Amino acid sequence: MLASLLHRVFQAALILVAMTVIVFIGVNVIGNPVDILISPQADQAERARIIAELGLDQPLWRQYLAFVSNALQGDLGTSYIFNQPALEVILQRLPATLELAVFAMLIAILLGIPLGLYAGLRPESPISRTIMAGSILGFSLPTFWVGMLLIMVFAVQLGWLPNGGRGETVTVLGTQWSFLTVNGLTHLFLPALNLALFKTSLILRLTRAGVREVMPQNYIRLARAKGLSNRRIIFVHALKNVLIPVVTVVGLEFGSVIAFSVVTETIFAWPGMGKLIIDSINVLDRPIIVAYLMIIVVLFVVINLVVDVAYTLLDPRVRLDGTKGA
Amino acid sequence: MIIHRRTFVGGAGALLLSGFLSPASKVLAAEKGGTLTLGFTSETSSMDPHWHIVTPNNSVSQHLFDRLVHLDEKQGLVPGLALSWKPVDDQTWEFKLREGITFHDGSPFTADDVIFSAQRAQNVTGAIFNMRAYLSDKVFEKVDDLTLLVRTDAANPLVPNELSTTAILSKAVAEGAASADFNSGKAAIGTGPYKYVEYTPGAQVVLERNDAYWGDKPDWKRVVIKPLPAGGARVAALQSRNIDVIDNIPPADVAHLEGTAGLNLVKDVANRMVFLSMDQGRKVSPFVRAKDGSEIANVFLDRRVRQAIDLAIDKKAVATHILAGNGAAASQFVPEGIFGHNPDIPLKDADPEKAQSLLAEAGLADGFQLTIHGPNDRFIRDSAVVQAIAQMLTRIGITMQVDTMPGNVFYKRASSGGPEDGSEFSFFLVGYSAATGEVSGALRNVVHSVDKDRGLGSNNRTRYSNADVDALIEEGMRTIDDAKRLEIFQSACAMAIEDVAYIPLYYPVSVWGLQDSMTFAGRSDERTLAMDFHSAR
Amino acid sequence: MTDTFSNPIESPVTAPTVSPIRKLVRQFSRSKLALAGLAVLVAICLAAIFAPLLSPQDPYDLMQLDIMDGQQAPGSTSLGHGFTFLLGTDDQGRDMFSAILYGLRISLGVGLTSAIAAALIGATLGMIAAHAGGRTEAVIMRIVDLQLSFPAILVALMILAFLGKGILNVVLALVLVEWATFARAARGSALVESQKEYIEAAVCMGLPLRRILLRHLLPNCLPPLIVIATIQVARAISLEATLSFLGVGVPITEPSLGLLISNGYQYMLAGYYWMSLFPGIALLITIVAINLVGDQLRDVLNPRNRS
Repeated sequence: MLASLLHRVFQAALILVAMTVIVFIGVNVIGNPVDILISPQADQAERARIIAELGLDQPLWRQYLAFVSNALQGDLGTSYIFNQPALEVILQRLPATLELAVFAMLIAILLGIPLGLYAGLRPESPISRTIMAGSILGFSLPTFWVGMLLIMVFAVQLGWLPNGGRGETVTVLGTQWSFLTVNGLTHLFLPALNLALFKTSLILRLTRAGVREVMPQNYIRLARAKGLSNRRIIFVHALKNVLIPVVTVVGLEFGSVIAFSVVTETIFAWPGMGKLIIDSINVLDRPIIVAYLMIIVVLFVVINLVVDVAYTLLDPRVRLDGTKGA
Repeated sequence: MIIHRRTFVGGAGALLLSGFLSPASKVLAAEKGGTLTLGFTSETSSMDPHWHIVTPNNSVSQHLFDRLVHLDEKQGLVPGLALSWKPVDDQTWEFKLREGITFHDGSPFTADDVIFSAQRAQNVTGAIFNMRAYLSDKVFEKVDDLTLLVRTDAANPLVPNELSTTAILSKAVAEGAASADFNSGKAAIGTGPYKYVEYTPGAQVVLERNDAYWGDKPDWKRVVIKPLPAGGARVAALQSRNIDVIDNIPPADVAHLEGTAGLNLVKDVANRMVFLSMDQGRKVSPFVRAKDGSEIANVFLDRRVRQAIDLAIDKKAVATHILAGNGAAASQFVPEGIFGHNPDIPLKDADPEKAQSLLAEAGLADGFQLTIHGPNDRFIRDSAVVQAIAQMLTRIGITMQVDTMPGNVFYKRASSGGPEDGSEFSFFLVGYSAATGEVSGALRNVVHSVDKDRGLGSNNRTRYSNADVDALIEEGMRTIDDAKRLEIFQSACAMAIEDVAYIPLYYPVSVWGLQDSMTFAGRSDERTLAMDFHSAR
Repeated sequence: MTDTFSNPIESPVTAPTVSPIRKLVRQFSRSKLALAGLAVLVAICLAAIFAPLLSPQDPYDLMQLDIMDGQQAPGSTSLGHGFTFLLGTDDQGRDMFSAILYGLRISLGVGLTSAIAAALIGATLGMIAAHAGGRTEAVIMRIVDLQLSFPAILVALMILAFLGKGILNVVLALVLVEWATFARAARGSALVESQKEYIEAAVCMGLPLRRILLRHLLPNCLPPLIVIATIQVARAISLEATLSFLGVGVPITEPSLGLLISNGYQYMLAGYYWMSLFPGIALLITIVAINLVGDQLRDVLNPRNRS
């Protein structure tokens, strides 16, 4: 197990290196940040001077080596816009994205599992059919359009909830959180709901599929024969097995929720990492773009690793040998 | 879209939602001596006033830091930390500083602080949009604590204008300070009307009134500045009275907010020009093609074609229909009220028939193919403007293609994508504004022929070149006397417009929204300053 | 939107499901909802194909647009052309009804092209991996894993930021984010099939690899791939719309549904709801119809769910 874990870590490092190369070439192709940010009064000499100052006159491989050697010392570059370390700028916005993602996941779990259970236990009832039809809608609706409609209905027409931005924050452990204030919660609700929609459908369907697979199995029949109450059968025996894949997915999808927050944050003007990356792409703040992608890669690698380990612990049949099967 | 509450949401759900999440909006009555909350479109990226000199940063830094010379709402010069200034000879200006001024920490302000600030402003590592363009030709010389000589390499009538860009820091505090020290407040010590209280990136800036300020005492004891980039969110915050003032009202909201009780809209033409550029540097231009797609000579070299395009475009329709009042049709490089505006240059009405006959005269009666390029995220409704122009040119027989792209890609290709660091495009939409607040920037950087050695024509992406215009511009740049210089620049403008060097399209109109409990006169430099807002009560 | 959601779809097919078409049709028709979805889908495709005949205006022809007709409410009459704007106009005076029909073409075209291309590339690589085994398989599947562990939206966003916008670039980006799903499914099915006697026999007979892959493996791996392809078309349309909304998708003069929504969004708060709402509804109906069909296809083609 330790050997395969080390193998995984090595692979992760390879992925990281590959990503830095791709991203580095990529940001270089898009455009030159100096063209966007430079003063319209600046002359050619000034332009050349700034390009040299930022090291952009160096050949790409040299810029890359400089980046790598700095990165190894924990320095991912200094933002062209904020004149602060890129990592710091991103981490300042991490709490906002985290609380959005966690709330979205909570909504998805709290809605998805009970609805999925119901739909799986009574597949023929009209309510179940409605739930399933609703889940198709949840899959189909593009996140950005739902976000727009939520704003139109709840913020503009009804005026119940704010239409964007983050609410009041309180500082806990040196970080600002908005979910601890009423005002913050009102701001959080719509974007979290928006982000949760897709995942709710996903969890709902997985739960339903799991229930339908587990219920006809022998050990459930045995439990029935022993005369256990229906409630005990469902919540103790069936649910345990149904939840294994759901837990996996919740873990794996957490990263994708963070990534998908790019769209939600843009619509709701949520000051998180997703908004930052879109803004940074717009002004070609290269250090931020590179650092953001590095953080996302690390995040994904770690999540995958943790889920694999958790899976092995939950289900002894799965071996941690790198292939999960098709 | 009328959605009835009852039909849209089930009763139970509605109750649940409204009960659980009743909006806890605190209504701020902005009263004299109270707190003023400002909502900005763009985030302040740093509290360091010598970092990028872009509008949101300038707006915030003007509260904390004075300049030697200040700009009034029409970008005219008014005394700041300098009480008066005058040219001593062609290459020397003398500045008399105010007496008895102290920084927020109580230390006195002297000429040393000015010299230090001018040095530091040129040496912030990595600052792309820096102040070197305004400072690098100047040598500062201290006569005594309150007298300063500024020597320039060549005669420069714009020294006071150029010094209005540079925030004056306290040498004792800011020497060796990094941008991070300004963000934390440690080095954010100026002489300005407000003092630093808090800066949370992406969330808010909090300032408190400096009661020892030398100038007019602002009405507001405390100022809170929040970034609200989404137009809808900004407007909603204003309407719910959570914010007292917002900038950049989106065009779509102007009409309905104008009719909203309790709110005032203030509009002012910005000293910024959005214009069309036509490639005049190449014999064959890549995006100009014959009707059948074959190569033809660059049509823009013929003045009649440039005139035809100018006449085909209905600038007023663009301003009213596309920009919905957020733009004013432009006839020249600076709007009325700004130094260098020439009242004799008329705003022509569109005349498609005449445009067509000019094209025929130029031997292009059958039209040609042309691609217009533009950014799609830099100006108000930029891609809609570009499409509308294509529509208008289609009507005079030009076969138009439209290509818009995000600014990050656009500016590289528009500025240096072509040969000799010129533009890759043939016909494109860009904007220009000068921090000095008068016309010379546009003339020397956009209109003058490219001359790398002398740093002229740095923004002349089309390689327009007219020796007569160049001569006038250079003469103006040497003329210290304001009245004479105005006259020279006005005739340079008239000559360039007559030659259709560029096609000025519109000046953006800044639209502020504010609670009607206060008054505001507007500004042409797009800044939003708490000092300009006054309690109406 | 990683592979996990399609897990129930791509579970290995344990028996060759070469069911007669008639049986398939009968099973499909069991769900009224799916039939309705299919009918709507056919109608939408027809509308897209015959858009030039159905729409009163060519929304891409600048000659036919007039900004004086801009921002007209549904039901108003054109100044110059005399016809009625059924669903209103956008800021350029473009008839929304026509724009939606033409936008459907682009959205469907992008979705179909990218899904088919991704299916071809992914299935080929997946089958090669399954058949070749060893190092080839390891390399291909590692890349697949890597690709699938990244959120599609982010990958596509980066690719388009690097390539610039344009319909072809969007298709390319979508293919790049989608092929892995097909590769994994194809490998899964092919692995099961490879162990069957008829394949072993073919290998023993010394038939060329291409022939074994195309003639023998492919037909038997097809059902799950068709299901995935259906779902991926919907996904691609939705993703394209999102990318266009973020400003990196298709060019403005030939708007897809997503770009129409995006363009109209800035007017929505001011009360010009039609510019954004109607293309949104068209997009929604399209995706729901495809998903309904795909959902039923999965139930029909997947033997595990056929209890």
